[in-house]
Amino acid sequence: MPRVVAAGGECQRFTGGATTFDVEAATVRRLIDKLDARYPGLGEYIDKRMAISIDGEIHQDVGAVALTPTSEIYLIPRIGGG
Amino acid sequence: MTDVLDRPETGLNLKVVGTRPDRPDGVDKVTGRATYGADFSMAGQLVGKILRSPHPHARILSIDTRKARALPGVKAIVTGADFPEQASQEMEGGEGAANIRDIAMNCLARDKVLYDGHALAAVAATSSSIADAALALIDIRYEVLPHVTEVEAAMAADAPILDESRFTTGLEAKPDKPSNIVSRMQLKRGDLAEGFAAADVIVEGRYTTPAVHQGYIEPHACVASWSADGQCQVWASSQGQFMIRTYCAKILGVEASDIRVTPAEIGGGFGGKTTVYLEPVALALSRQAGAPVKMVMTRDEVFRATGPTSGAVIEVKLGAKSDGTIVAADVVLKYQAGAFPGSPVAPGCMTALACYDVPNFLITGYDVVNNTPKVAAYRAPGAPISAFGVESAVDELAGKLGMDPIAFRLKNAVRDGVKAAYGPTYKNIGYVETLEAIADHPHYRVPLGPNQGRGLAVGFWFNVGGESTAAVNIVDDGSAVVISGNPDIGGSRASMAMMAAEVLGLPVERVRPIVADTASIGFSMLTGGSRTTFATGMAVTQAAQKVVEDLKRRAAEIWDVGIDQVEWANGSALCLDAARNKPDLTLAAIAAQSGKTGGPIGATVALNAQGAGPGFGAHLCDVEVDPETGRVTVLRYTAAQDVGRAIHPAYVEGQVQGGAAQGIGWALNEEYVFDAGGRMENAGFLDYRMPVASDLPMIDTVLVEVPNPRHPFGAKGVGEVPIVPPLAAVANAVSAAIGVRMHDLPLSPPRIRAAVDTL
Repeated sequence: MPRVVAAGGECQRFTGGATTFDVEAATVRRLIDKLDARYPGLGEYIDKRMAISIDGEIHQDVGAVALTPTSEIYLIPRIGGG
Repeated sequence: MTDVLDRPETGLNLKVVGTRPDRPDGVDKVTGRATYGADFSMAGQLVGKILRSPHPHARILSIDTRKARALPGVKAIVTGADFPEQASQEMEGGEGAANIRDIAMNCLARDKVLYDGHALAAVAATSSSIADAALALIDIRYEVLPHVTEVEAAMAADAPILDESRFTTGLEAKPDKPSNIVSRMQLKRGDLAEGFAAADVIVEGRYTTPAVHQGYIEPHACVASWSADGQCQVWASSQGQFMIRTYCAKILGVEASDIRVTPAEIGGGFGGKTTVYLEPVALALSRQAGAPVKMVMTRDEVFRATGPTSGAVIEVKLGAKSDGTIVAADVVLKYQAGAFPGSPVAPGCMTALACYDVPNFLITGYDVVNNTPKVAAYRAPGAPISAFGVESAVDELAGKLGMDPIAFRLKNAVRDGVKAAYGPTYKNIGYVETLEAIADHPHYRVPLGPNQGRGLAVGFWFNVGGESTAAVNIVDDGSAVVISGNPDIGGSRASMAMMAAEVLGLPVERVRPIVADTASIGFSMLTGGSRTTFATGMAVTQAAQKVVEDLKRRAAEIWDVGIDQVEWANGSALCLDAARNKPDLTLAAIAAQSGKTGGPIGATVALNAQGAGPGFGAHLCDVEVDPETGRVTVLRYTAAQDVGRAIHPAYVEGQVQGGAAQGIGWALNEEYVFDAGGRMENAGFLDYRMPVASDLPMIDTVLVEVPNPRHPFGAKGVGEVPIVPPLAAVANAVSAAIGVRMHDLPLSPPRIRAAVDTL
């Protein structure tokens, strides 16, 4: 089961302080849906404010990316630039 | 002179990528023909101007425009009340979510003004002088409020509060009083107390950086036209025409498809043109006046009401073992956001220790509103600020340990397989290679003279991909047009043409790159975050590959062979069936008969590019300090950077040199200066001192190429990293030259004189 770590951002506002979550999900979209079901409002927060790093690669707005049970998943603040 | 190290074998047999052709937009730019934002005009256009607040913080009691409206030649006047009420909601814009109510209230204030220069009302008139006269006739009554400009003063419990409904988020306990501290963010790993307990040497310092402007030469400018049928057009200089369309539609409450935005040439942006200031106002004026409206900011307005990036306080405590292993780091970042939330403190936190493998750390960041202009992105937003503090402390720590600064950094360097301080595990990074490139460079061994010092610093940026659309169309003479939706800031036209030429097998001169308006190409996120060559380049490459597949299909049809019997090489179709004895079909030959093989040849690709590889840089700076005047002269400067693969090495070098030059200015001269009344005192290039060519030596660049396997040609973003190390590289050099650790930027002559006097 993929393990998700929230690093930075304000996910704890929705999770009661938890920063690590085990979530059974095959794609990023399903992962966000399940996190939102567990912590209402977190899904929208992730969609708007967070990027998702999967196995060292930062993804923004890509729901279809596949996950595996051993995927390294971090929620990090969304990255813009100049 | 530039070195390109370790150009890797890709097996791609590249003919165009990696060469240095002339830029396709170069001639118009050097001859003055290029059309920038202020150069565009329409028949019957009016002049739009903005009335700005003289107070940094005040409640707006009333705005009376009656006298101004009565002035002959005045055709329209708008205030914040002319924009629909907005809920406080975040929405996707050019490169992520932004609060649309804040953006609207930054364009035209409602209820309160929050900084000196905040826009209050706008006039459209038949001449500039009439517009000025009308602005003077607008009667505004204020209740002037106490203001706060400095970040720590804004964080104080007794500070004037900008928004009484704002409570700090990110704290363990919900606060019971409003605050200017918008949010607190933390990153942590290991046990900080145990880490410092295990340290043999500890350094601790408090560093400050002032607010600085992006400093683009071209002021914000636009022309807006609202037709009687509700169709709108905007011509504007920005980093993203789609960003302008989205924000204008939301702020004005119209359909995005009713707004067509045409990008002008852009005279610099550096992140400062990733939002709107004039465009919604010009559209509102045009709607009211029934005529096109042109607005051009003065330099004073650019400084007082756009950008800058945050002023900040950085507190750093580092601990290391006597063998040079860093065992603990405690970093606190306090960043000004300006009038509305949204400083770059999050990336400041995430990048602060990104170059180091530290087992125990705590990084705490505060996003703080204050009565200065709302900050905007500036190259690698937030990273140069945190790097200034961390790299200064690292320099001090290496010195206390008696270690060479490169050896010390190499000992603690992140490598593939190491977890970044912000979480993920690195792969395909070239950080160590940049340090080794500096160690191997002759600059590192040049002897220093009296009053001279040498400083080293490193930097990191994530780089991003994102949504892009590109089209490749073949012309019937066998040339090609590449269409993208990204304004060309740093030479992207050239790199798009080169990547298409590489795939098509054409000389790059036969590929014409075009930047299209919002109605002529699909959505692209804005040009920023070092994403365009990576992400839009990926779309261009895939579109060209689709074209090649189509060309092969057409050749197969002409020859009556299977497509598996057709190969594409050097711009021609080759028939692999030797028995058929078919001469090669050039692209031009296939294009000339496209009507008989299926019609026009072209392909469009829209994608959301993923897999942008992070970038690292190492900068080395030599300075000489005049101990009598405090003047700093930069003698030598060398920047090494992992660029993945340089598509056009000359433009990559230009990005590195430009970032270094801006960082040197940030280190030595640039700062927003406010008087006691909260008004900016140096809103012009005479008093806001930016480096010019005569201030700088030739900046030497070393392009380290560790390819990004997720890009067809190995490219990584290159525009952000080079502004990260210079602040600390210069400060470390100055500190070495005078023998005093310098903690506060800019390193202006009075500040250096004061430091020398402490000896």
